[in-house]
Amino acid sequence: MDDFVIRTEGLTKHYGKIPAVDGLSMEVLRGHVYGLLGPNGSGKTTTMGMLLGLVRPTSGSFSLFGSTGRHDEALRRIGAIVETPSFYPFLSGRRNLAYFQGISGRGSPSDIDSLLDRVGLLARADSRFQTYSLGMKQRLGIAYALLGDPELLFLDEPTNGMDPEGMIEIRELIRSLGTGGRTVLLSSHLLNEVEQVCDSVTIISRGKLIAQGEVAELIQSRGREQIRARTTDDARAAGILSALDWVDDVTPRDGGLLVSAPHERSWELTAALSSAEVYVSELSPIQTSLEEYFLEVTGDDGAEGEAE
Amino acid sequence: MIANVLRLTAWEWYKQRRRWMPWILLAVAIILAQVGVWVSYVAYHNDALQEIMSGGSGSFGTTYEQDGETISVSVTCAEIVNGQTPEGIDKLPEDQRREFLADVERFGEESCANVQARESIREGFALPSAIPNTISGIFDIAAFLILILTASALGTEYGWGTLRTALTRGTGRWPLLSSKLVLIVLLAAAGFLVVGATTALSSIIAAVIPPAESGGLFDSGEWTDAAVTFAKAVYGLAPYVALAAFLTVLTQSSAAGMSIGMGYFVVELIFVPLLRNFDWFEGISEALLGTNVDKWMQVSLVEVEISGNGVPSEQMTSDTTQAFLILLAYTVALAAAAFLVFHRRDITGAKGG
Repeated sequence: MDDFVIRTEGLTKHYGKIPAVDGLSMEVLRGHVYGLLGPNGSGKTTTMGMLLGLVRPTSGSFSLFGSTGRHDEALRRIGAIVETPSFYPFLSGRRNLAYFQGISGRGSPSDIDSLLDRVGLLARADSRFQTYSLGMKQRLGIAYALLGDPELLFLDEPTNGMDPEGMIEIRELIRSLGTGGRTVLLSSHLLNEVEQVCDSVTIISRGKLIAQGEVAELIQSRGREQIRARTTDDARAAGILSALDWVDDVTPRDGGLLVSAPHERSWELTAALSSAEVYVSELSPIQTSLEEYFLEVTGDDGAEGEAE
Repeated sequence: MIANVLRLTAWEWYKQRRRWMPWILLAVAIILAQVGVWVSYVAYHNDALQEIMSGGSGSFGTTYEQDGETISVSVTCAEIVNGQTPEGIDKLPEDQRREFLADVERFGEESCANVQARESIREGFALPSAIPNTISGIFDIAAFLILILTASALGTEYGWGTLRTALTRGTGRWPLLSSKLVLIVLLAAAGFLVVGATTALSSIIAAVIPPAESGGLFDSGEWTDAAVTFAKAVYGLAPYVALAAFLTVLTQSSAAGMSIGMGYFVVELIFVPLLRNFDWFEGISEALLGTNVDKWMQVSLVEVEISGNGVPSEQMTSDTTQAFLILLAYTVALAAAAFLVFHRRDITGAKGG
């Protein structure tokens, strides 16, 4: 069995002269929660669309479950919600699921109630879809994606429109889905969501691959460790710390100092200052987040991105 | 493949039967059919109209000597109008039979017009002729309704964004579109059946309610004509289904699919008769969808029997075959174009139209 459930090779999609996805090569390992991260308009949804057979690639290739042919058969092993979940407004949530379960022939009608229960929608299962709030639509979308117990899940902004409690609930659900050999490809522009939920991440910007790997490794590879310090004499402290060869940089920030130095050498920092009779009133390590990493690798793109 | 399309068709029905649209369109078709039946009934029993039409009854007959035997052959206006073969005509030699039929035709035109007119009104509500009459009568409206239904069934999938939701289930584009078109054709057939059934019910009521002189229950026309007209009507709607499918897939909008399809229908209806006055338009007119649908629907068994004593004339056969082939070409070409566009186009999110 191929360890990679998705492989793309130079995947490209142009709309006229505008490249939406530009030579994207990525690999997604089986049994992970995988993040597809990028600013609005970076090509996340277009990439998902190509993998799901909705959008025809301009060039490049991709394989699903190690196979490049029989795309419809591969799709029967996939559950997906792309952008806002779209269902028939005149049908209830339960009937929508029954219809989509029926046309795919995957799973059993008896699964529908348990899925509705799992996403917290059982009480409103018989209400028409048109009466649902955005959060309820998202929940129904996740239940739809889970129909037939798929091996690979594509979730595009699954917590969009949910209240904070619902977001936490769905994130926990997504994490639990990424166990037992199932793979989840989560597309999101919410960096903290990806950081909380995903094991690995692919960052794309303007349709191009910027970075790919495990979240923790990526942060460590680029992230500079920093320490926030407040002292009895910040001006003298800056001079003392700048002289230390293991300190990269000292910058005044927010009424204190921002010191670029390894976290494990914090004690040496306090020792150096106290020996010069400058005393530390506050010392806290600053963890580099995925957000900072993302902004660093995407440059200005994150701010300039247009709606997808 | 076929089993998959049929399975998807069953699920398409699961969905469509819960929409208002097909039921509203069916109600419109039934109401218009009923209007036709009851207007015929009222016209038939209208005193003033009866008086005008009562002067045309009569019969035509002649005798021939054949090997010392006298052969009498006669036919009534009612028999001529109903396309019945005159009794005893088989005994006549070929040349005398032809001569007699020519005389009958002349007599029919000159003396039976009123009877024919009254009888044709009766065909509008008496069984079984009321069924083919009604189906033919509402055919243009049915074409209009089927354009609306097809454009709606396909276009709303783009509008709601549900096409994307369906296709990510691995149904395949060809089977999905095929199932929709199959269902629409089946719904068209079912619609005609319901219209036929409700017409039959009204005809029975018309036969039993006073005034009783409406005639017998099942003495107007042939049941086979009802079956043939039903089959022809379903076949005649197929190019309109394909037209609406192509336009809707092309524009990805039910509103655009409906309006362009109906626009074409109306333009053809208005401008073709006007342009027929020009010689250069004759050839173009022969190839148009509406012209061929008209030809296809107009030739009925009754007409064939009257004109050729049960044998279709060469011209009629040629017109019918030509119309059949042209409608087939339209259906295949438009459906192929719809499938091709549907297969190649990117599917995006909800369009709301």
